[in-house]
Amino acid sequence: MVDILEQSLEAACQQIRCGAITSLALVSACLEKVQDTKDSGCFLHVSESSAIQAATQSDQRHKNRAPKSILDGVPIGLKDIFITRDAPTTCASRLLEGYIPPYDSTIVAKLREAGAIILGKLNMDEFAMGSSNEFSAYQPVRNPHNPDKVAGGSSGGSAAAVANHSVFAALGTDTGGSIRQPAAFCGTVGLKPTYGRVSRFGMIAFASSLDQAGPLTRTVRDNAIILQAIAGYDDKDSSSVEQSVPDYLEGIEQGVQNLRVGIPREYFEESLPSAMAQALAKTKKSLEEQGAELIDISLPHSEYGIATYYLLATAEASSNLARFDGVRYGNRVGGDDDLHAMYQNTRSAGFGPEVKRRIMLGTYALSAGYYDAYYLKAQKVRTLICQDFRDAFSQVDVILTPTTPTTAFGMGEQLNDPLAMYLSDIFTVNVNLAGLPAMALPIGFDEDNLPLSCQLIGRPWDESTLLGVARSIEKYGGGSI
Amino acid sequence: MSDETISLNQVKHIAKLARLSFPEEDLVSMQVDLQAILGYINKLEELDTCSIDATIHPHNIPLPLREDHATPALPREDVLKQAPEVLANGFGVPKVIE
Amino acid sequence: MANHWETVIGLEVHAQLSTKSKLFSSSGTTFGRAPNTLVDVVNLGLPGVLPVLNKEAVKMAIQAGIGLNCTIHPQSQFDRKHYFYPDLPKGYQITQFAQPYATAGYLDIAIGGSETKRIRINRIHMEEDAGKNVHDSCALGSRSVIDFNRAGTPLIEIVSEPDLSSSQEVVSYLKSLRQILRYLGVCDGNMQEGSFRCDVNISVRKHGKKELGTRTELKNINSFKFIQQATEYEVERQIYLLEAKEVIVQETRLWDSTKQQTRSMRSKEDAHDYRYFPDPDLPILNVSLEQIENLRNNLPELPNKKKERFLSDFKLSEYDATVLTEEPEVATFFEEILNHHRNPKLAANWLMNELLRDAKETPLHQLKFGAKELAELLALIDSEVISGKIGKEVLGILKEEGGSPNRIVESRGLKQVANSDELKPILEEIIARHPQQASDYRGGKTKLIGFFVGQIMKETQGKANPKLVNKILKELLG
Ligand SMILES: [Mg+2]
Ligand SMILES: [Zn+2]
Repeated sequence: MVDILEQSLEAACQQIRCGAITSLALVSACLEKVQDTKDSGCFLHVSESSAIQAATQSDQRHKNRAPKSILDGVPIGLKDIFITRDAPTTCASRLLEGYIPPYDSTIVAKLREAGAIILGKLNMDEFAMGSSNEFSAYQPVRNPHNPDKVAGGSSGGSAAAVANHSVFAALGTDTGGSIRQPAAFCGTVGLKPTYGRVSRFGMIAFASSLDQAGPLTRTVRDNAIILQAIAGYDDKDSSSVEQSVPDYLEGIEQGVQNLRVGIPREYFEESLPSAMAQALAKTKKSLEEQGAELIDISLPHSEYGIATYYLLATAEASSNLARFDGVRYGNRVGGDDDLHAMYQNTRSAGFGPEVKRRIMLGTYALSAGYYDAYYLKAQKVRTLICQDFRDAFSQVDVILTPTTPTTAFGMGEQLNDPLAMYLSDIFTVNVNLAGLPAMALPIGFDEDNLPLSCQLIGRPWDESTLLGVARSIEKYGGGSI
Repeated sequence: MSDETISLNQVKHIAKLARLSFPEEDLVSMQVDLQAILGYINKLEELDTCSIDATIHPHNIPLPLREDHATPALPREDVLKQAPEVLANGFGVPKVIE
Repeated sequence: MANHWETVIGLEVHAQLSTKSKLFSSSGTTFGRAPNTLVDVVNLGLPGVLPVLNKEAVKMAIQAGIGLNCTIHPQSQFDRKHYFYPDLPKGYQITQFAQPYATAGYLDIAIGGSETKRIRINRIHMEEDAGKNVHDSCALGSRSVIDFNRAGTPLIEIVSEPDLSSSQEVVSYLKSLRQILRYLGVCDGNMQEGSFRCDVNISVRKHGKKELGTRTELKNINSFKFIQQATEYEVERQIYLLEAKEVIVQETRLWDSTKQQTRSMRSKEDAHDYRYFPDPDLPILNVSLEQIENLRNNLPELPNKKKERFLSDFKLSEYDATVLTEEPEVATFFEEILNHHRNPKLAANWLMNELLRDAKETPLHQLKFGAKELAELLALIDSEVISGKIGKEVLGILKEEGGSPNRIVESRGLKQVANSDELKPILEEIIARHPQQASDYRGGKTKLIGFFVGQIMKETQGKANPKLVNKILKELLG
């Protein structure tokens, strides 16, 4: 029975389409797997009955030869940051425990429209703030390759659920690396699309100018299939952009002949673990052998990314989280007589330590007398970082870097050192600041059997090139699991 | 900003602005954390950004506008469904003093 | 002693734009609906929602900016203003802080006689309204109830320079501003419903001093009368304090109309720190210069212009022109009458004397007839088909039942009798019945002609043409 979960999403789609397997069988197998891997902490909510019902309907459609799309009937998971009308949406926070929203996010609406089966809501760091998934208010997520290691964050549940075959794909969100870093730690493919490519409507905001949703999958082609289903302008999101959406599978096998691959020296200066350095070297070599040209480039302001990111992201977060006040929804604490106390008690009890830390930092950065020195300064440095990438993309078509400075670290290792945790995003945050598309791609394992990953960064709106390069690495170079 | 460290009073003031409250010992550890992070952030001072424009949005796109059509409201039942306190068809809160 | 003091007043007016839907979402904006029935996921501030700007609100805001002589900026930006208050759904208000869409305008106000004073307008910005706290009901005890129907309603905030120096000027400014917005059709100006709200910033200083005194702010007063009273009270209070060498506290004060005094707002607003920053959900708002010019060229006629035109084109008196241009609805009605029957003086008289007197109870748009019907009636009078007196009778019927004046006159036989063959025998009979009066008339009491006119009017139910009656009488009695 478990066999059918080993295949790719694309293969599962084909099997359903040709009648070799039913959606219901897939959903049942996934639900069983979810049960078996319960200790991993991936799921915050399993939508068992609605998934079974949806699968039955999907099977009927296939029987009538009227599937909604290629995805019709395939079980997927959603990070619990996406608003779902019929299932609890908590953002892994106590404050939203039991919250059931009255509407669907655009992404969820699109996936339902495509016939995908939503199996449940996946664990994450509370309000997407964290890089280890230890800041979930409910439970940490364990790395599927070693339960003593973190799954990464904040989309740790999404990465781990895909890696342990509980779902064929998952949706995550990425504000400073929250898709790519857990994808790297868990050995999956994770794509952060161009800012504005995918609607943010119904995705609980962390940092609005940086947040972007994207797919986590086991293969590059699967990733393209999910991106296809969720990409596109949404008139409910003023920051989404009217850009035509290409067919992402169309050119995906065409290789990297004559492609210029930028190797930014700043990303290779850090002393990387030797297995990671070797895997990256092997990947470069494989690209060269397939006809790509490697070009040494510089992204000189890279080292300012973390500082810039943590100012902008926390400032926006402090604002976005102001709505959680215990008036209209969420768990209120106190409020018998004093309004001010109700706010303080509700927010102090509802938010976990990392969320509070970031609200404090962001509030400080925006407060009177500090705005220019912190927030405005960071916006200006952001301009410099954007310019770095523009310059680089005048010479190259895609940029190759490590995804993370280390492989998955141990549970509890960085829990009490917020700055150290922040620095683990060093290779991913600049991409968000510049609004670019980027992918994390497995390229093998280290001596402890922990996944290794490389990051590909593309031009705005050019996810196609990223997917093509990733597919080449997947086929000829990097390892897959 | 370089030599400035955040004082305990400032931490308290910020907490109040953000409607958060901390036990005294947590205030101190918050101060320590913020000092460490702000110390790192001061790195930005190395850059001269006088002549640089601020980036607010990653892409320079115009704001889309919607037509002025009113659509049906959310049913009141749904509006109030998740409210911690429902009172007289509205959201109840401790008395607001003016 | 008050003569040593000079009053300095600046005004912040919040005017609600007359759009169908909210500023950033699509629920309706009708006033007076049951609590929380005009709310959508966006203006309720649910997790995950995003704002999308209303095109019509932008258009109306720009029209107001042009009407108030502002510079309209092709680029403006929305910012978030943070504070915690239960009626504020997101913990911040979306407003325009650093880059408002309109700046540097002015408004010329009347200050007695034909004199005007120019009040500079610092800026106008767009913003969303908050919900409403209900806490005056005893039944609620120690609780307040929040109604979010108003949350997200589009507003413009019009901020004047501190150029006003008396309560009369304040009221004159507000009336004139409200009139302009109503003329432009961008705000209904209804103060009771909160569509036009005013904050008054008041300070006093010794005459000749340059620097401003400490100011207090009077908030949300909902009638011109109260604004005038509150302003006068507050000026006196400040002067009294300063004369007594006391300090004025910079604070927000409310007008208590029962006690006829201002009082400090009790909510202690711990030093505001609104933490403004550009809203990352909303890119820069671009309005092309063509769009702005297009709106400028198609701007509805403003009250001053209209009044001038009424004076010159229709030769109305200053008084009539003022009355008829006060309300856009009246001016439009008046011009509509003239479109169908061009006798400005007659139309002005009938509109002012017969319809505006009751306009409080029955505003023009609630009449059972329109300008076209009134024009028809005036035409009947002008062409002497009916007399003015019968005209009033017909108007009474119109008010009661509506309908067409022509048909009313026809079906009720109200047409004037203007045929001497018909009138002569009746008059001969009347003269025969009143020999005394006839001989008195002939003896020189020519005023008695009125007596005979009265008699025939009685007999014809007022339908006899007075001119013709006079002519025939003079023949018969002459
Ligand atoms: Mg104001
Ligand atoms: Zn305002």
